[in-house]
Amino acid sequence: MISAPPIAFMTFDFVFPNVSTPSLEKNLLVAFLLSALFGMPAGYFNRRTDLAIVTVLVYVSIGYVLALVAYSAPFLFYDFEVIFPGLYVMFFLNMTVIPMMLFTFGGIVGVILGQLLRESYESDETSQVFSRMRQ
Amino acid sequence: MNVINDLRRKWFVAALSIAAAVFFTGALVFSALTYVSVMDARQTVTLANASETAKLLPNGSIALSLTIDLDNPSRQVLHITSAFWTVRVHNITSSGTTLIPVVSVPTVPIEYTEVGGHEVKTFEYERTIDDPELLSDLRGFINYSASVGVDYTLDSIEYLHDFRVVAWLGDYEHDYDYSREMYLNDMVKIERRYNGGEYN
Repeated sequence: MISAPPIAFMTFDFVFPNVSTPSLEKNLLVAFLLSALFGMPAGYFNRRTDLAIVTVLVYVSIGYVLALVAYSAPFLFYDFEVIFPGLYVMFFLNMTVIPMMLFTFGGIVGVILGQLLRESYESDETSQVFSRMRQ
Repeated sequence: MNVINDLRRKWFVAALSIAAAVFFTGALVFSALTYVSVMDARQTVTLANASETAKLLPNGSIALSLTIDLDNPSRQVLHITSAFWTVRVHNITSSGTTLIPVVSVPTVPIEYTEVGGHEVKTFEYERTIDDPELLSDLRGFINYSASVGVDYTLDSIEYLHDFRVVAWLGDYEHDYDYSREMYLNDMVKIERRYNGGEYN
C-alpha cells in the first residue's frame, strides 16, 4: 500500500503537470521507470508472485482513486463550480488510461525486479551464514 | 505478524519505501491545494466598479474616460498580458445596425504588469475625440436620432465601453501548442470582460 501515493501523484501530475510540484511533465519513460521502482516493494516483501501481482493491481487502483479525489478536490471539499459538468470524470479517465496501463505493467516489472533483489539478498545472506558456520 | 517481522528484518528497503510514500503523499496534497488555489482564482477574480464619463470640451471635442478595477481576492499573482479598451456607438436604423468606432486602445505598455494576491488594480483610460470625421459621424447620429424623436448631445450619447483583460496565473507553465493540451492553458488563464455595463 506504500506504493499507492506515488501512483496517485503521478496520475494527478499527468492530468495537471503545470500545477503539480514536482512534475514529470508527462514523460512516460520516467513514469514507467518510477512505477517499476514502486512495484519493487510488492515483489520484495511478497514471496508469492501471484499475491505480489494482485498487490500491484490493488495499489494501482487505490492510487487511481486517490488521484481522482485530488482531481475533484475543488468540487468535493470546496464550493467551486465544475468546469465541464458532463465530461468531468470522463475527461480524467480519458487522459489517464494509458498511464494506468503503464503503471500496472511497470508495477509487474517491478515485482519481478523486487523478487530478483530479494533472492539475491537471501542467497547472499545464506552464503554469509554458511561461511560463518565454516569458521 | 510475518509481514511486520519481514519489514523489521529488511528495515532499509522498508524505510526507503515509507519515505517515498510520505514524499509523494505530501506532493499530492500540495499539488491538489495548488489546483484548488488556481480554481479559486478562476472563480473569484472579477472586474468591478466601472465608471464611464463623457465630457464635452469647450473646443467642441469630447473626452471619454473609463475607470475600472480588477479585483484579485485570491492568493495567486496575475501576470497581465493584454488589456483592451474600446468605445463605440450603436447606430440602429430601419435598415440595420451600424457601429461607429470611437476609441480603440490596445494597452501594450501594461504587458507584464502584475496584480498580486489580495490586490486590486485600477485601470484608468482617457481619450479626447477631436477627429473631425469622427465628430461629424457622431453629429450625424445625433441628427438621425433627433429625427426619430430621441434627443442626444455629444456627451449624452450611449457610448458602449468594452474592456477586456487577459492574464496568466502565477508562474505556471502555459503556451501548450498541442490541441490535446490546450486545457492546461485554459486552466491558468483568466479572461474578463466589461461590455456595455455587464461584467463577464
